[in-house]
Amino acid sequence: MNKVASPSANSNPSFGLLQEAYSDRFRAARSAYQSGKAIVGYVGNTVPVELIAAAGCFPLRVAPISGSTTSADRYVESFADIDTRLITELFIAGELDFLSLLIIPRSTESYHKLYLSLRELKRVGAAQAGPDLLLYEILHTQSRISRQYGLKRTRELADRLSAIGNTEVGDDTLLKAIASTNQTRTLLARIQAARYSVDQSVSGYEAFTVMGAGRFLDREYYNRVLTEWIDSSARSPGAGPRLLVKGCPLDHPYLHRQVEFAGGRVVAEDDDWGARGATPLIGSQGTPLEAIFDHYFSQVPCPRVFPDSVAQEWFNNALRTAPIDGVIFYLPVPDDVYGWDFPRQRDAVERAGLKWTMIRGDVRYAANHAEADAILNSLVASLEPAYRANTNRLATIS
Amino acid sequence: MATEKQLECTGAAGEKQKAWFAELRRDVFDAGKPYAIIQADTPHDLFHLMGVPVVTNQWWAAIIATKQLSRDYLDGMSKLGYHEDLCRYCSLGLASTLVDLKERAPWGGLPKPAILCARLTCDCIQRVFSLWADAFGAEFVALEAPGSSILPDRWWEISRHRWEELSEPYRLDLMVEELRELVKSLERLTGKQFDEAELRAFLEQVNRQEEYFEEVRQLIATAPKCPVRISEQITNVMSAQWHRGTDWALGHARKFRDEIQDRVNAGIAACPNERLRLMWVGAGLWHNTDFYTAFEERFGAVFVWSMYLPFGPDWYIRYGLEDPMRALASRVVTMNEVLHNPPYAPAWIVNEAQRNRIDGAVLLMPKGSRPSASGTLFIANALEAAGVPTLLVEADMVDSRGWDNDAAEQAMVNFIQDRLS
Repeated sequence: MNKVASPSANSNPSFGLLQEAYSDRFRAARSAYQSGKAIVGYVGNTVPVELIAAAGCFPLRVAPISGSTTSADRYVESFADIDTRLITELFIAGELDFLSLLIIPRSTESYHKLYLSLRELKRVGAAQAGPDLLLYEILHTQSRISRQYGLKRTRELADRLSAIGNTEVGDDTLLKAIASTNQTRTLLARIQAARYSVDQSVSGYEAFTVMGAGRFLDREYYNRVLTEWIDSSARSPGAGPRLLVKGCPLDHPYLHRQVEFAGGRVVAEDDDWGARGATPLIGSQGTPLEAIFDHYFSQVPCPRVFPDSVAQEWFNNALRTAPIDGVIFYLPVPDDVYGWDFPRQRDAVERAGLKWTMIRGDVRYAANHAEADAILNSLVASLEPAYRANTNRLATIS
Repeated sequence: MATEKQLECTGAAGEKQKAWFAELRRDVFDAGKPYAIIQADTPHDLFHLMGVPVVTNQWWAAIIATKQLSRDYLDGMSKLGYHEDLCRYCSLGLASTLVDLKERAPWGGLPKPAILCARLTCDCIQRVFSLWADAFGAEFVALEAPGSSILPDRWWEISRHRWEELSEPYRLDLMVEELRELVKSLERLTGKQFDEAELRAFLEQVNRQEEYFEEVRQLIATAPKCPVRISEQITNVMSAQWHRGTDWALGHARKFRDEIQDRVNAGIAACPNERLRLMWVGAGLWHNTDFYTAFEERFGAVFVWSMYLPFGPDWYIRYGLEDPMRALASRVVTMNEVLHNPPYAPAWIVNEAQRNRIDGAVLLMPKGSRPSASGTLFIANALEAAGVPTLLVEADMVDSRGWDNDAAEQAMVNFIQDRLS
């Protein structure tokens, strides 16, 4: 159900471990569950995993990317986001029953509907069991009122998790959890620097895979294996024009693969699965819980961050400073959110003197590959001469 | 196909809206008075109270659709780079600002507002309203839309008196604080001082207005045959709702009640041939309201129910106005959700179907407005489980581009013949 078929020619053992976790997303959590650990699932990227870890639980991001939706389709409309349909299917099938709690944040309307749907499935008896559900009310308007509201909900979440795990969520346990996830962020920042660099370039597909794997692994183990991968010399190199992906968050690696087939490489994504997973670190202002909350309230990418000037800060900065040659707007059907941002972002890309393209087909499906290939081949071909000239110039300088 | 208006007050409601909009344009253009563009689920009451006229986004979208201008505006949006899968209902008004149809703009088009206000329900709203506010150079006040974790299915049994419990105190705290911020904006805009006692009196008047609608709703549910078609229900109810709490709205609600009462007393049916009672679930089919009456003559199939009338008394009435801002907040904080989301919507609509002796339900499934469409299957399942046959109609409420009238009518014919006869 949750396995991702993503062959890689890389025989690097640490990459193999991370790719396996990225592919078989419940494997490590199920193993931890078998050994008696409480597993807390969460959806999206705005749930503070530090709280889950501080409570002594295993945080598992529930992010299926393929599988049947037959049962879910009786209750959830076919035009809903595919991840919510897949999660609903898992819920009905009892595949999430090993979770002690499933936390769904109020960070997209799609997730809000997911929460309501899963609750209703229990109420009408369509799901026999299923984990307890919690709507995590983090709001994203950058106002004092919304911050205070979210902070209170986060304190309640900490209390709830303390009751589930074997550890009281307090300053000490939170500081330890922050140190651990900040270590991850530091490692991811090293990877991101390599992705941007000329002489240490790394395959976009490979980098994206290892950056995403941490959501499905024990944190200490992940940090260790990720360090091994970073320090190893057997990483697949990247080549070709450097592209930034903007649009719907990529919870799968298929676009990166397609770009590499076309002769380019993705060096950054404006979402937490990729480049924005690296920064910033959780700060030390206020109590540990406040520092954690503020990170998820205002620093992580989320389509409900408001106002738009805050939401677009990272992207606009990347257009000014990141070493990129072009932008891919990835807006697969049924996107009805990110497309609103497109015309203004397209104009910003053009003002930055960069080329862009748009992909509307969901590239996780083979049926959409031919069209995506044609679009990406065309973009890469148009960027290739300038990129080659620039690379030669940089090589000469160095 | 019956398209004539059967009620005197229907004409009066239509005329009121036209005259009001013309006056609004005069006030804004000639006198420089402020007005607001706001979402249907925002607290209109505060704007009315502070003397700021409001144009409701959904009403304006319906006007555009009724005038068959959606196609031109939405095609224009595509040319600007907004792709075809973006929500249309809430963005058609924005389109009417970004795309210039010159003299074809409905009723002369929207003048520049002083302020826009929306609840951040679906993720597109903050984008649509930010773009709109930027295009006009106007202030945008965003209200949060926190989710409920209480979710009582029979919410209408507690909404009038036990609204604090229904809305969850901490969510009300948030909404009250946001409404007070909105009031500050309105005070800045108008120079008028907000008065809580005035708000209390205003909400009491809203309650009285909705009580008239409650009477109408009861008359329709219990009369042997439906005295008023849903298109006229909607016109009369919504024109009063957009002006709710005003003297005109209260007077119009009373006239509407009186006229329906007279028709029931006289045994007048909207369709004397009524044999099947249908409910229309979802927003109106604004680009083709004739669809509602297309099956009366041949099948005696009459749409007797839409959400617009019964939702008024069940959701707007708030008794216990000691803290009027909190009562108003309780209406705003979950307003859109009860119409679409489980468990609120399925339970309420099943209850309404039973109360109105419904034979079959037609559910609008607007793929081009996903937030309105999601939850439809839960409603359909609940209706079917309650013994009410359902038909899903995939269509947009304002975008006529994908509408195939022949196919839709044939689907209805099949539904009536196969499931209802």
